[in-house]
Amino acid sequence: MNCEQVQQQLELLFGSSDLPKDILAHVEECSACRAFNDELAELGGRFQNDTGLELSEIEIERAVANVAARIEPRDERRLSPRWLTGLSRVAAALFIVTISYGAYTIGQQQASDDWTSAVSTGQQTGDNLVYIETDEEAQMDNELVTVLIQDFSSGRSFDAGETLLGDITVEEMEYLVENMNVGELL
Amino acid sequence: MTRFNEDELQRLVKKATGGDREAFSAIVRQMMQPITALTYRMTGDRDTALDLAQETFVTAWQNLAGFRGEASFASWMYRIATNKTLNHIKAAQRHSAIEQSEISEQTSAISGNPEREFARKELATDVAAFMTTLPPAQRAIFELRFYREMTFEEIATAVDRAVGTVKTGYREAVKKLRVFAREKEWHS
Repeated sequence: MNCEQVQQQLELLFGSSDLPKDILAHVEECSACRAFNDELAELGGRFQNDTGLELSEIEIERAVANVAARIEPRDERRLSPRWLTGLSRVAAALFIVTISYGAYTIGQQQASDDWTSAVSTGQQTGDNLVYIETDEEAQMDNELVTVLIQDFSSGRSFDAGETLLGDITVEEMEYLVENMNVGELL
Repeated sequence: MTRFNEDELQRLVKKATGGDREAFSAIVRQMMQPITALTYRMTGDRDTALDLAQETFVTAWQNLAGFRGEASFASWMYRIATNKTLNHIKAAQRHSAIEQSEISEQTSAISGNPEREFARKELATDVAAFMTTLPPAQRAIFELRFYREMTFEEIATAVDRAVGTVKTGYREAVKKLRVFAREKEWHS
């Protein structure tokens, strides 16, 4: 190691109490580097005595109290931005799920309403053979069925039933025969 | 450099990390002096130094969970203090430079032997005057290396520079110190 390299190392070691063996050996043999090292050692010794700003006990306690007043208990600390981001993502996901479910429910209800509306307006849906009554016809049939039930319960003749059956078309009758148990209906 | 009872400090840090504010106050009590010394040497202003030191502890409390013990707790604290002070200096430089006259007017809270106190204040004034000759980042490097005995690697992490840059900065500061001493005719 030449003198320049040694002096660079001595600058880096400024403030250290111990020198590496190779540096120390060079310094002991080289008067220029020894003078350089002595100069730095003197400066270091002088600066090492500086304690900076010294605080009194009262100042320290005041500072401790100030810090204590400014720090929040951990369990009451505000949520960190990372937590807030996470929470907002969860909230957004819940919002989307709620909206989707709401839309689905409303859709189902709408479909049901459409069906009810179709029934009440006497529409025939697609290939379905079921005859859909108008409001007036439905009302009339309801009354006839009520009379039929009363007749059946009281053991009277089936006048009302005959009247009801008289209103039914051949196709409706065939459908009823195939698909319905009139006894159960009654 | 202020020596800490590392075992005691670790015990307090562990309790503070769990939310124990009393333990954290004990840490503040133990480290307020060295942290304030650091902020004072870098700013040259007593009130600013105290404010920055307190800010350092508040930030430390808020980020205790982030302390993983890779470096010593003291190094971690010096890092926070250094960053806070450098940011403060940058902001202050936008308004006005630190005045040399302000530094020489700083007084100490310690009173005792008048001669010793005079010598101590004179030295503090010289050191503060020297520190103002360094750019803020170099000031931080000198403080952390010379007074805090941190390794160059630790300092590089603290000031967010390459290790080589930190070493060059320290050597530059030492060169400037030699020039400063010659101007003051300190050498025997």
